[in-house]
Amino acid sequence: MFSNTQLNIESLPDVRDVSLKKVHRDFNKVILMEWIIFWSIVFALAIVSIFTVFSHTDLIIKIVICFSVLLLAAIVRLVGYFSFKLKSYAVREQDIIYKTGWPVTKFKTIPFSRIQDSELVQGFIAKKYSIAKIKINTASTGGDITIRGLKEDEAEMINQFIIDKIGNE
Amino acid sequence: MNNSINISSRQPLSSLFYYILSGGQKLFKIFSVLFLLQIIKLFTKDGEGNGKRMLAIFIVYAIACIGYALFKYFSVRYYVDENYSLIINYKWINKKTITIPRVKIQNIQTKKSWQLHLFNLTSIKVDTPGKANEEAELVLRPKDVSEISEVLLGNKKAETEEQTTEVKQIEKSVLFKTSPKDVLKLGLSANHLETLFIVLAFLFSQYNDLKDLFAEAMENVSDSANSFFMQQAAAGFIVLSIVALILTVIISVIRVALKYFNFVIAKDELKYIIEYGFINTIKKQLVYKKIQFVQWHANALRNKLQLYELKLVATGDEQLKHDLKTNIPVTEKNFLYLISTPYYNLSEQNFVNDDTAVTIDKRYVWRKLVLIIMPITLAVIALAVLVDNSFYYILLPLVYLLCYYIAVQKNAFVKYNEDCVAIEKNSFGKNVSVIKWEKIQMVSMLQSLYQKKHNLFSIKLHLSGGTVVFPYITAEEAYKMYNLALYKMETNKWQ
Repeated sequence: MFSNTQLNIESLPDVRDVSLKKVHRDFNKVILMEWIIFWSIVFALAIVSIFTVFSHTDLIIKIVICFSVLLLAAIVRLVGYFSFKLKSYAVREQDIIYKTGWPVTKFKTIPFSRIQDSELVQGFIAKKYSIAKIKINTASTGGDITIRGLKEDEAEMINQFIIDKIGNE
Repeated sequence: MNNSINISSRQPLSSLFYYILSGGQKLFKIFSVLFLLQIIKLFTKDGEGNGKRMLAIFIVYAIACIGYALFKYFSVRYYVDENYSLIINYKWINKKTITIPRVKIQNIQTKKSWQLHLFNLTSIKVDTPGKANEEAELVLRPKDVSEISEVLLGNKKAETEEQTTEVKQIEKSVLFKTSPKDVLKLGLSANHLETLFIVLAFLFSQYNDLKDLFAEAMENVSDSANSFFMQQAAAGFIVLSIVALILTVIISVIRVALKYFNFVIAKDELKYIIEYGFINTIKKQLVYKKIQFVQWHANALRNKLQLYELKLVATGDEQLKHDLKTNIPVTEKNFLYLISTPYYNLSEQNFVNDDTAVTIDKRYVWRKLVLIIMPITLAVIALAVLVDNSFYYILLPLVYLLCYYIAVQKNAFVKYNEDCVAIEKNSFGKNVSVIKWEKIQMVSMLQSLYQKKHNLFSIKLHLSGGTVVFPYITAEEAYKMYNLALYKMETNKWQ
């Protein structure tokens, strides 16, 4: 039977009431390791170029180049750390919520009915710490979520839950 | 009814000749520089033996065209199966079968170019939300094209040997048709400002160069002669810029005329039928339920004249986005609502900026000033002081940008009800997006540190046809919209 009752927007479930779960603390170690490896390579390349390409430049310029690389690395680490502190997620009956990013914090929600596929991804370093990420794709451009920093078994459970949910849609 | 479309068949034999012609054109486009070089060489003194080379090139070219045509003709077979799916089998090189179920079809586009006219053929392109290489394009006889379109869009059932269904022709009503006057109005009101800036920038740089040149050459000439030559040069440039502007307007009018000549939009129970084109005739059929959102915009002049460009956006991959946006010229405000009705029953009342509308916070302008305009201004001033005074010209577009941000903050608003959300991001002109909640794929809220301090959010709606953002709204309004969007998305299926 057709009905058309008025909807009270104020009484709808509020995302502010959801208690978000922080990602696993080992994930900080993963991003730290990735940061060390990446910036070691960059710093090594900077040193090599100072002694080859910029060999005839003033010492002060060489120091400025090294300092800039270090400063950039420190900023990236700082952003990475604050972003890690904010990363949290929640799986609800109908959707999945993910909060990430610093200095611009993003709060994203995808209903299960809009998920096209999800995949479990584990990088080389993340594997050492049993950390994995889930990539959740929708039919939109740019409307995807990658939840990083989940414990392997938890990631598998969430991934299976999503697949079951979208299979039953 | 002829049930030939249910039997796996090749494209008509005449398509072979069409493919020779179109293949020839494609190859000529790719190797045009090479061909031109050879032709030039043929008429030069050291062009001995070039005649034979040209003949050889021509033979290779002809073989390539015929090969391309044979490949296109013999490698493709198509049919519509009993589930109303279009099946296309590709043989040769890679064996591939493309199955396009009726439910996945976003729109069907038919085209009649002069080459197709020549062989009494029509091309049909079926767009799906998948990747660009999975869309289907066939060259068929007009009656087969119309039959396939009808079956795939669900207007009538495909006939099988077992069943004979009565053909139900759905009535269509014309919503809007462009007249020559409309085309002229659209052409004249197109945005010439961008072209004007480019022309002016070019002329300014040329004028400065010439001034320097004259200054050097006229060192030994008397002051009166110097001033005479400078005046002549300035007058010349004024005439040149006026001519350039007139040309820009003429080109715009021709471009719009080619695009919107004989534009007709009609609707039936299921879909829009859009026909347009001067040289090539294009017919698009867009199913209502596949439309993700409607959008219309107008520059300041067009807004005054009530001329709009309406976009119906269907779902699709990034590469297909262009194909899946259907642009419709609208010459009366009421037509906007009339045309959009099958998507959502809009009215003028929906778009009045009343008290219930959510507006952009004033801090938006301040933030843009601090983050974009001030850093660029400082950089420009530094460049002007250190390098050249002409860098000060860059400050002019920055003034325009500041005015633009102020206009957006003052005129933009978002209004929503239980069915849809309408976002008006007006600056000097008009830019409106209407989105049904259930068409949204993902909803997100963004908050910078500055926004956090002032309890503000930017809200982002991700759709299959694009993304719509509304910045700097209060946290309370943002959460209200967010919760409603999620509720509507979770209680409705997406199509």
